[in-house]
Amino acid sequence: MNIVISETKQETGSKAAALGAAVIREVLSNRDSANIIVATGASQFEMLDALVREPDIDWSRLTIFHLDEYVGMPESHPASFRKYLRERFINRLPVAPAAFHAIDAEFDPEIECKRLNALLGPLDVAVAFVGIGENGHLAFNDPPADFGTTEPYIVVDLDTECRLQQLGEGWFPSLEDVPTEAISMSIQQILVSEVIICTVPDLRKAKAVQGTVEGPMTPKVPASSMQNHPKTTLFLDKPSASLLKPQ
Amino acid sequence: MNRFRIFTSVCVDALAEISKCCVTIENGRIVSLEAIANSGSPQPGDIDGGRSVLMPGFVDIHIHGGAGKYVMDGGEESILEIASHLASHGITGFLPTTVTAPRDEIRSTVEASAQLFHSPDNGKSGAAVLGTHLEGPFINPKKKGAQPEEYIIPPSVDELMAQVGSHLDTIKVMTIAPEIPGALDVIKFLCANDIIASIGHSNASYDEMCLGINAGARHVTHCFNAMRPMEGREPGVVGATLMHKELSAELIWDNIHVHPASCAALINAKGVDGVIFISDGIQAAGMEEGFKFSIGGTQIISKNGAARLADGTLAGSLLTLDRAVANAHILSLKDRAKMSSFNALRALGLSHRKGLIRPGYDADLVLLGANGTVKRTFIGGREIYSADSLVD
Repeated sequence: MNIVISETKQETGSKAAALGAAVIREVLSNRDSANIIVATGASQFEMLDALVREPDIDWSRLTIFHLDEYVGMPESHPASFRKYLRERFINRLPVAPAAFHAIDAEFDPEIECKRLNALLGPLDVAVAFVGIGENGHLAFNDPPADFGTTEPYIVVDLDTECRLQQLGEGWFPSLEDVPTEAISMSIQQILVSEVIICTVPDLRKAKAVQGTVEGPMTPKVPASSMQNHPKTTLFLDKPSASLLKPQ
Repeated sequence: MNRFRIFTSVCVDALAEISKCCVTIENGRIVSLEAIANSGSPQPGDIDGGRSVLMPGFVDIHIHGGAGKYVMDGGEESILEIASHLASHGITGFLPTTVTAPRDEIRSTVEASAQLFHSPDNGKSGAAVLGTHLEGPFINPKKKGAQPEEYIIPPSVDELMAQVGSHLDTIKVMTIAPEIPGALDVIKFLCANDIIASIGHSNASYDEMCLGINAGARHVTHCFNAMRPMEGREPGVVGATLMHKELSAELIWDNIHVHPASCAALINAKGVDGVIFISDGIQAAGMEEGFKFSIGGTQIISKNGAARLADGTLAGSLLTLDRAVANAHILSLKDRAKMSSFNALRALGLSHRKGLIRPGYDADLVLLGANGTVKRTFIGGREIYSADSLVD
């Protein structure tokens, strides 16, 4: 894993967006179209804000998937990830993408997984933009994560630590309101992306970052699965990098 | 490294109530919570809370003054004195709140508050300034309460920008009446800038309330006070507040501004996640009965437990949030922790690092003795206030 540590959250986000944009431009110079994956949550605010302003990307040749969504959640709910992505990313792109495959798990998550797996299964992914949870999760794969499954999308249970993070970020009024299930992209599916850009600002992520980088590769720290990925860059700010050993 | 532990008989936040608990604080943050049985006995430097209750520090998002000082006195000094007075009542964070006033007065208050907000010393001598609340001047003269009518002006984004200058990012709440022409555009602007648009000093009908909510209003200023009440055929501001889940409601629980039964009715309707205790405190809070002062030339006297104009109109409260928490004794401590701290911090977008007693959270804490008296206040792990004795 490459590690880039910046002074501020803004700088972390714009550096991550700049690398992602460079990879996308490179891929589109060799191919007609490409597929990318984007993530949500408070950690992606600055990165997405910078990414939509990156010049010279022909978004109309890109198909966009995302990492996860709560089960039983309508798009009108403030915490909905597809709402987040439409408002903070898709609707702000200079041109419409080729497609945005929003995850809709409001009614039947199993059928939705089948639909998405048929769409994403056969495709290559050029770039995956991801983050890491306070509990070390990657997408909604909470510890212990399933490192084995090769299904692109799976239905997962959310642990209390993960649900507390969502409460703390202000998406829900109380812990009882945070769903206990979600559809998540699997670890294996994330790892088959050619390039992974992982943006993780904030002190509250310091422990998870430490485990991801310095700990053993273990389902107990799901993001540690990226250790063997050849093209992963971790974008940190000073606080989130504060527990790492000096290099 | 600065490290100490607090031993307490009960530790309560918005998530849980834990008895016989030891909280470890390191460099201003909470690092662990464990049962006293596992943590030995207090060592030098630790705090033995005895039978006191440990809660997240209170957060007051609507306060004009206290201890004889007024946030609009014009400088940072008064706000700092208020901050120190608040810390002695268990408040660890607050929004200095302006009133309807000439533009220059609002502007200099916004500037002073912004200076403190950005200062590295914020929260080191008193409650931390978490931003500014602008109460007015875009309100309805019919529901002005004690706000001076001559300075109420029509809502406009240009006027708002003239009041806040380059400090828009420090404005966290604005109280506005949605029924006044031009208000909906200001509400939309507030939302686009992550500022809470709070409906108050308003005579809005139910339909006008819906337009305000549609424009992005998400909050209601001192519910029941200075607003159109609820009637069967016209729900008004109060009815819309009870009805619409997306609105959180401020509540002055001093048993004077709002009857305790109305407080309970509001909480029944909105749930414990939808109500935020505020003080709406003014200069006379913390001063003796009969204390006289003036706001914008209006004479006010502290009488019968509240601040009043000569005609008896309520002009702000003498409340501090520690008393609100004590007054709300019909609720569980956990629910009171939500309404005195977590819900406000969630509205401000700070609940990922403040407002819970969990590892990783800022050590903004209050130790309460019998009858809810504040014994100790910690802000960022610093002891900012200490009563003479921990024992009652």
